Amino acid sequence: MNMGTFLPNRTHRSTASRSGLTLYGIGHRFGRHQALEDITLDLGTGVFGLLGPNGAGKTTLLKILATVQRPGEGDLRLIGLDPANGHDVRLIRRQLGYLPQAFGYYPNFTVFEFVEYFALLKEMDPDKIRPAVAEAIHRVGLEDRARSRLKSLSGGMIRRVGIAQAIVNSPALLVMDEPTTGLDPEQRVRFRNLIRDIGTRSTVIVSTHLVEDVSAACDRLAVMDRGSFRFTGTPNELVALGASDTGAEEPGESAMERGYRLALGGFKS
Amino acid sequence: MNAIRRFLRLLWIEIQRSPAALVSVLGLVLAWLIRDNPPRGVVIWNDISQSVADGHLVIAPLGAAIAVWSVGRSRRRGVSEQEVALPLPAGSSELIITLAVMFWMVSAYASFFVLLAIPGWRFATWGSPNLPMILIGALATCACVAIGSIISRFGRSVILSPVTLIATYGAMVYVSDSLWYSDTARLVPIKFLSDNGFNFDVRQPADDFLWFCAWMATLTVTLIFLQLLLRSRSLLRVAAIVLSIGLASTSATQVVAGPRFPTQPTDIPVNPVCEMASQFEVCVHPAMESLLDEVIAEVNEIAPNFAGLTGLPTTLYQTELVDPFASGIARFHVWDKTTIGYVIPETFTSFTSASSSLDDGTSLSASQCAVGMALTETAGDFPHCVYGVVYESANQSFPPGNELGQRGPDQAARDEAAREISDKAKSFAALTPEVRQAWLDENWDALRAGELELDDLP
Repeated sequence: MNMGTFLPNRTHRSTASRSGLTLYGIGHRFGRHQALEDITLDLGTGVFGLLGPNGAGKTTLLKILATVQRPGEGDLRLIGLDPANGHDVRLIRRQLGYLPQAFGYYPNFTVFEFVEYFALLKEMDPDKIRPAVAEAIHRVGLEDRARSRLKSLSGGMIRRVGIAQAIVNSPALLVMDEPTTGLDPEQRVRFRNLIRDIGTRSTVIVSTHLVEDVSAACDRLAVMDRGSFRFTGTPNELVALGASDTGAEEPGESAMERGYRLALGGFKS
Repeated sequence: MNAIRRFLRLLWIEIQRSPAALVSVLGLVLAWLIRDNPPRGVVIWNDISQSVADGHLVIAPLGAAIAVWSVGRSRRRGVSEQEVALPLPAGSSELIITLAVMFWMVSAYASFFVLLAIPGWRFATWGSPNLPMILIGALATCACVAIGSIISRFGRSVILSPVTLIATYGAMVYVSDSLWYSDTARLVPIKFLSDNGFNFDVRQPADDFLWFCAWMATLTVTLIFLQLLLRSRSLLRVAAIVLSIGLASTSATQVVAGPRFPTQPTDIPVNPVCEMASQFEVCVHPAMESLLDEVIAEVNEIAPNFAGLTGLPTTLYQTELVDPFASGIARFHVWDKTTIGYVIPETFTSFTSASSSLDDGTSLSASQCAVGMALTETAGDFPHCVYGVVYESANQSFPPGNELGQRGPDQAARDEAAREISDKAKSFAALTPEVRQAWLDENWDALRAGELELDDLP
């Protein structure tokens, strides 16, 4: 068992003034399909979970937050900066960590090289890159595989490399799309600890299908469906919503899962 | 400073992990296997330099192909989305990948140079590495990598790489073959090198090479800027590409407008090595000194047939250094040992004409050709009659000096004319020495003046 996995950050950094995001009336269309509609959100530091069925618009929203996609409408501020501004977007991206749903990698790179590669592309201070890379790899528990080629790693390990490249720059804004996919239960627990730790200094947004990830790691959450928020609140509030309607309980269903279902209007995801 | 350090570190990672490392080895092996290695018996730096420069024909297309593969990597591997979320534009990482591929392919080219230069440093009898020529091959390799890099923008299919390999190689060969007479073809390195290649006694004007180097360099830079511009636009990038296009256009125009063959080549002064053969002084270039004995032996075998004939030159001179219109000197071009046996007889064949130089486009007449063949026949072998006489005798219009081209008369007419001359040469050679000598004494001057027809021969 590797106890080094997802350990809290060793270094203490003050980032209070460089986190947070504000979305106002964000909407986005793909042709005739309204992917996002009137998304409004104001987040400071902490871990924010996005729950929702397939096609709810989570990935589109995360791509907008990761500056991969521009919103069709609405106003957006990330870390206090405007991503529509060419100068600002570069500053945002330096402080951004992003793990897309479909994480791509170069199989011939070693773990260390790959994470270092992204650290370099994030324009980190060259003097800080090597220790930061080592730290990120340590936090995802891959230090003993740091010199291994990516092609020799399992799917779960690759996912952890993806997490490492996302956190290597100690991002003020960390956007992760289904980061626990492929992780074994032990790694998932450690991952939750990791993002909880990062969330003490940064804004972390995590999309997932798994309500237990949200309940364990998130300070706040939103349930999305058909491009808009159906519920926003704390995990406890979602649990309370589920507990308020025990008549609709499904066998083996937790209160949070029931709350999630009820937030979606009774739809069983 | 930090940006430079990051750039260098990224480049180092890319160099370490680039698949171009393996391809460069393949390129080196292929270039070595198909290198031009003339069996001249003497090693001359210019030939080595030419062989090195020709290596780009293999290495550069491979560079283009692997650039397509490498630069298209992020899209193929699904890393594009992650890269978009990075502060450095994706074009920057593509530039670094391109430079890493250039590093490996130019390394392959440089290694090829070193491999060929080893015998040069040990055995070369003349000259020094022709660095401009070698530089052109390196620049052409870089340009092809840049071309491959930009091609990667137009697709992600795995067959794009092999298609680029074939297309790049095919384009260069096509231009050098099919567009040989077009000035525009000079923009292709192989054609330019061919037009401007040195030989061992003439150095071409250097400014032409500089313009071509500028053309290759600015083409490479323009393609790289274009790639960056396609990724993200900025006023600075637009200005940079406008400037680089301007420079590339200027240098390309200079290359195209330049002399196809240099009008004022610069002679490289040498002290020829001379020795007296029977009635002729034979001089060879110092680089070819080892061939002198064989040249003299060939001269001594043929020269007696010309004994007593008037108007012959007194010196046979190997190089082009001598004024082509200087009286009393005949030039010949021996390239290696294997060429002596036909170059010397052909040189003697030209003595049947009074023209001071056959290089000025003058052709031997049919009768001159037949007599020349007969007089230079050795052991039953008749030399080829050169300078297009067979076509003239077929009463066909033909561009001087282009007797082997495609624009001449039909093959049947050529064959018929050649057969008639050959038959007459054999008849003349079959005469007894006394009869032959008597005929020559009587008709030599008229023959050299071009006043005799083939039917006037005995």
